[in-house]
Amino acid sequence: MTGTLPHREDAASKAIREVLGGDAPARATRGPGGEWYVPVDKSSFERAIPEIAARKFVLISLFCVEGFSPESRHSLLYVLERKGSILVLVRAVAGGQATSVATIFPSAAWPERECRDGFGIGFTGTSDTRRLLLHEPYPKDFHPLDKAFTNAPIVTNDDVPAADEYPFKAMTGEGVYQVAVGPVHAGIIEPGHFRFSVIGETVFNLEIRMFYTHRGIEKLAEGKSTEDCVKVAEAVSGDESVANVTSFCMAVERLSGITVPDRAWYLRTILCELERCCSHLGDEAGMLTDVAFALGSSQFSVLREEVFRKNAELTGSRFLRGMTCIGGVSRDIPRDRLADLAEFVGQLRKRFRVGLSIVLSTPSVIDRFSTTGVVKRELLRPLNITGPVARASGGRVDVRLDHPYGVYDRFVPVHTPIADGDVLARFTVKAQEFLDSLDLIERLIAAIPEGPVQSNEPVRDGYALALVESARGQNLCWVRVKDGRIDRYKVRTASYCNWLAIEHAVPGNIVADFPVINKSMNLSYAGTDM
Amino acid sequence: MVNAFSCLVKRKVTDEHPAKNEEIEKLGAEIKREIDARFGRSLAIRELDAGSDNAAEIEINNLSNAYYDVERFGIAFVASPRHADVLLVTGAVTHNMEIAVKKTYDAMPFPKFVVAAGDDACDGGIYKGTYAVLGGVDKVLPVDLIIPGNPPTPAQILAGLLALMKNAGKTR
Amino acid sequence: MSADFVLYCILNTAVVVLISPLFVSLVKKVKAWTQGRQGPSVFQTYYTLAKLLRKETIYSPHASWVSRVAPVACMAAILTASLFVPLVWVTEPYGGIGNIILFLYLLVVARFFMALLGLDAGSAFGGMGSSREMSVSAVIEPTTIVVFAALAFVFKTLNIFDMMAAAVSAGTLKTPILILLAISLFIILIVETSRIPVDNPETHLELTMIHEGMILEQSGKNLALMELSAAIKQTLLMALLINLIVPWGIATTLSAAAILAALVIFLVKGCVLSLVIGTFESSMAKMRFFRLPGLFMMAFFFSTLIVIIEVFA
Repeated sequence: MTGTLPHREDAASKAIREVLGGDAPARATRGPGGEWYVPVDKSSFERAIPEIAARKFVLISLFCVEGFSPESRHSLLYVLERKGSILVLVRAVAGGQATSVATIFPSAAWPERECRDGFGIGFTGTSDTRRLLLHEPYPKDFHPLDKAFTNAPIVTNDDVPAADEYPFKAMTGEGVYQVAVGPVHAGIIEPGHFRFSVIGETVFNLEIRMFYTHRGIEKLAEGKSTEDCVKVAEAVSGDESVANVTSFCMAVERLSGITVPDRAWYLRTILCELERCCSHLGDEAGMLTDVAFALGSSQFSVLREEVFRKNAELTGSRFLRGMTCIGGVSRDIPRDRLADLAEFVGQLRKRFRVGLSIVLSTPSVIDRFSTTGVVKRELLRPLNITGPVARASGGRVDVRLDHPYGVYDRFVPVHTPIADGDVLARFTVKAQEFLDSLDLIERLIAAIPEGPVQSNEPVRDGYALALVESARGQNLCWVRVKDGRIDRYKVRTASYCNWLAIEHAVPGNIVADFPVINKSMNLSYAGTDM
Repeated sequence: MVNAFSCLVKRKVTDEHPAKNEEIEKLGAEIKREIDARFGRSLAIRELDAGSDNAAEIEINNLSNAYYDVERFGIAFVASPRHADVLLVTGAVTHNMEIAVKKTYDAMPFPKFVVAAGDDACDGGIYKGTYAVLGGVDKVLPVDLIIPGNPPTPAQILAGLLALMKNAGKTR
Repeated sequence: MSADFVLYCILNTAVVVLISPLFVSLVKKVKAWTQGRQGPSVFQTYYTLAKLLRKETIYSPHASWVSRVAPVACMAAILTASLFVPLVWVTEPYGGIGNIILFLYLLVVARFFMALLGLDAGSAFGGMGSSREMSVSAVIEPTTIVVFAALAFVFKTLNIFDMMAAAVSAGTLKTPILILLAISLFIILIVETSRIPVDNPETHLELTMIHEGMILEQSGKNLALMELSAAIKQTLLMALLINLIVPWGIATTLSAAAILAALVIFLVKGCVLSLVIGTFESSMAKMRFFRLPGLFMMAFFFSTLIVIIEVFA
């Protein structure tokens, strides 16, 4: 097998040798992040996929790239992960048609629809041919990610005939009542559509429809320089800016072979952990608001405001934007500021513990949280559920542990496993992660070395994959640079996969529990819709 | 009950007046229409995400926390457009959201105002001229006040809302 | 009908309409304080109602005559019920006015119109709110009857006017009975005014709304009428609690000084009760719908206990 580094055999290379066999090992190449790329043809692909699934690989992403393989215009990249190793199967698409793998890998259902919308690729063997990203106003046969289409305003349909409306699964029966919620919700929240089928108060089916805030991020990035694309990466999802920009910069640095200075990685990691803290505080406050315990919620929202203000003090942006850049960070944070941050973190820990004890000693809150919205462990692998949602259901997934990046090999996060999978488990997991992040920040500040904070090495052409652990879970980024410009920017946040868990967690619960279940997962609509 | 009593008497962290007067004056000048004096004491806001990345929503939510406490100015966020005086829109309007935005505005009773918060809502931001968005909110609705920022801080949003209410005093 | 009684009607209605918004804002203020912030001004509800009266009233295209009539009918029922509960001056009742069972069912009439209103626009949330409201009503009705029966047994009359007169003249009543009575009446108050743990009056979660869900489609003067009638209902139930359990200060004679003093004392007592309501609401989360009967059972149990004690002791 070709590759730049000597390697020990991992699950991916083993699969290439044993499952694909033949000359696959000879054609396999290793990407700069350690992932294996193997071109496969139709027959060996269809033969190998069930075996790969049997070997407990998880399909973490599926996307299309134009002009990747010499054999055809479009190529589909199937990114499979197992035990810290990544295998990317590259399928050249002949005649714009490919076989669907959604029955074997349910996490492929949405990505396949996305490829159809974006590039016009048809998938045979699938029953779901509804459009995903492009709702009714978009003209039929409009494929924005096609290179032939130059990004410009388009003419949309004003009138949508009833026959063309998005069909939801119809549920009929005695006493069945359908409740449609959204896209505009009564609170201050992003838009999304939820269709409940209820009998009385109990939900027995939930179908979601997202992509109302589809802004065309992937197309927007194409043709931009890598510096300009940093802003696009920050805009994917407002409260995951740091995670997404870090994964983008990592991908560009990997494909260009840029070495990021140590101090820059320490600072980047501090920013990542600060963002995680902010997000978890917001979730705890939100969960308590959704059970109408405002006294408890305000304990956490006050702390979150203080973290936002500290963020602004450190970086000039409450959301930590404008810091992470290609090659490191754009500005240094002086020693006195970091010492101040360390002290702040100590105070934060004490006050968080006080708030937590108030909440956990209120029986009515525990009553609402316990046994509500259970996400079963069996869902985690087929749907690629990651993040606190997975860790609260007994899953042991964390990109910082499975694919350590930056300094996470030295500063290892600690998880205490919980397997209940209910809202209380997610609340507890987020509280633990928050405290763990505070520990990490303190240790990082204590150990941060002096040195430059940005590398000036140039960006080269190539492609690379990067995974980061955002507050919500596994964020994936695949970047291809051609002639110094972005040729393809594929980003998939954790929410994109985790949304489908809600369709399984809510049935069996009462309608009034939906908001707290939704908030306990805290999924980003913008990060899904892109 | 013990918890609630102790919280009742604790020191409040609310900022005295987080929005600076100059900011209010500047934003006051950008208000396009006269505001009815009735809104000087009570303003009901319906927030609408037309395609934002959620950062502006988080900041608007922060307005209700103990530091900014927007309720003390008579500003309330309401659940239904029928109860609202102001439609606070964030994000560049995506094609997928266009109809929902129009319907929400139509459901509001007169007199009503539209505020666009954030660079994307003001003129489309980085999405200007792309296939998925119409552009700023002014492409769909008559906008009365814009609050720029990416995202605008709660202090800036509050300054905009206070400017709206302060303008109410001028008509009488 | 004596001139005294007509004067009482005017006075009582004026007082209840003027002070109800104050108590609503006060509860909000107390809840804000427990959350560590300042909260709205105590006069905020007045400003909001004044503004709503100046707004356009929009009707949904699916709305029928019910949406036009129901807010007024609801207010009419509540105002009639307000004549049954003396706030500051107890006088001789006229006709059936003051009968506690009739009072209960006037409140039910108001609730009936509110439920129809929620259904009229044909929205899912209005429908859910109406159905939940009627379910709660069906479960709380027997409990309320038993609580009122307990009141009747303690004060030996079914007429609220006579009950308050008895409470004032009897001085300090048998203390344990009062506490049980107060708890039962307080639970009825929480349920009827849709407060935590039954419902969250400040929620933005359309899927959890009960009371708020029914008024989502209202605007302008209709919304003002619905908000005011809910506020008046709260004041009436507070008055029932205050004037029966801590009756000192109620005016029993027609004298300006006595009535003014009674008004001030009632305001003070009302503020204290608002403080208690706000603190109580802040100290717990909202209960799930199917758990609510457990809460009602407490009121039912205490009232049954009172009836048994009164009958056998």
